[in-house]
Amino acid sequence: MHVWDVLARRREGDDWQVSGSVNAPDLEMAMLLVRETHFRHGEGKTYAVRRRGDEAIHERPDPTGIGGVIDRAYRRQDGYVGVGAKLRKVHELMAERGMVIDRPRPAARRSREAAHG
Amino acid sequence: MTYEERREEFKARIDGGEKIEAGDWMPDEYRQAALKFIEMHANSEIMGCLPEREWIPRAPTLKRKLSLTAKVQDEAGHAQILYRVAEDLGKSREQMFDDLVNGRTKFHNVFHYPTESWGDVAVIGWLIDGAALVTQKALLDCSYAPYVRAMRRICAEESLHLRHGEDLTLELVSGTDEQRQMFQDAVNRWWRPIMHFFGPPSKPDKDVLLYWGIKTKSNEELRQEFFTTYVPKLWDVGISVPDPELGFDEERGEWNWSDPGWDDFWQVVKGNGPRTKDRLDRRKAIWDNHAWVREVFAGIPHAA
Repeated sequence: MHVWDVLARRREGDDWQVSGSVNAPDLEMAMLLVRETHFRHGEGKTYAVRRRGDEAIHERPDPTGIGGVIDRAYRRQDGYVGVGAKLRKVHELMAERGMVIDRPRPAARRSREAAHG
Repeated sequence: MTYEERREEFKARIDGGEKIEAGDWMPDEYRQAALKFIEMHANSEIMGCLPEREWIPRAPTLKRKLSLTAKVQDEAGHAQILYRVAEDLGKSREQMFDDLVNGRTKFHNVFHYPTESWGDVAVIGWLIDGAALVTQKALLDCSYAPYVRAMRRICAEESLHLRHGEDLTLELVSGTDEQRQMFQDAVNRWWRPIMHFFGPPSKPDKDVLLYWGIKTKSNEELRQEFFTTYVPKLWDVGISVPDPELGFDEERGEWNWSDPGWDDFWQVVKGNGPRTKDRLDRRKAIWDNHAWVREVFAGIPHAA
């Protein structure tokens, strides 16, 4: 088993950035494992691996398809768009029904800042 | 240069904000502290798959089944990434798994408890993942660079999981009275394990992880951050928290909270949690059943 360092290009024109490593017996398996563990959500334009101790960088020959099945809403942040607005709506509903719990809390702005920190 | 001098120089690098790479010289105590912490994190990711996995067959809709499956897959992926980081600190993955399934190393307290309803899945997805995200975001500034790179990847996925958890929660709190009660019951059951998740209030000057910059915030700072982010949101949707003392003290600029009692916590730490044995047995069975995969990877031919 060998250690392969994972190199990523997040955007077109970026330099390679080390983003982790995988254990794999050969290059083909290293490429497959990197796709599954580091790029499953389509993080980046392309990637490469370099066997630890070697100089040679092996770039994924065809970067299309990185991210696997990302047409599924539950694999992407935007699959849950509107959750914040829905939460506020439930808050308003609960306020109308007198069910909001009114206990000492930080000022609203500070609470929002921490939430988005 | 003596060991002590190298150690001091190393500490000065950390105090100056430098990051440490796997190939750098490091004092034994730094290596041991980082390994123990990252190994425990990896163990928690792989063990954390199990409580949610139990609900995949019982998810209420196909959409929920798919999204929960994807989340469990992500958590297993986090474990793979973290075990690789830990391996570079000098311990083999086989040894880490052997130590885990035989109870010699730890995993997070919250994964030692049963999941009794779909409300528990919402609590895990929102509040427990939220607690985890508070702690994990603080690790983005850790002194060990390979761990920071892993955390960048993991935090991005955990943010997605948080959305998933919020979505589940919203469905329950805006649903029928029974659904709201299911979520409230789950919050009541999980509140104490969540308080334990952050650990007892510790003395920052005695915390070896803070000393070496592996952790960047104390248990209490993280717990306070969790309160500020999540408690007002719970109250706003009419969900109470089983702590009569919980409230923000304007004068101190901190939340007051009740001591939850730590007996359960120490029992869990000792490996005597309500589901510790079942979960470790399950993990060992999976490890044993998948031995053939490791053998193929290692190039060992199947026995005839």
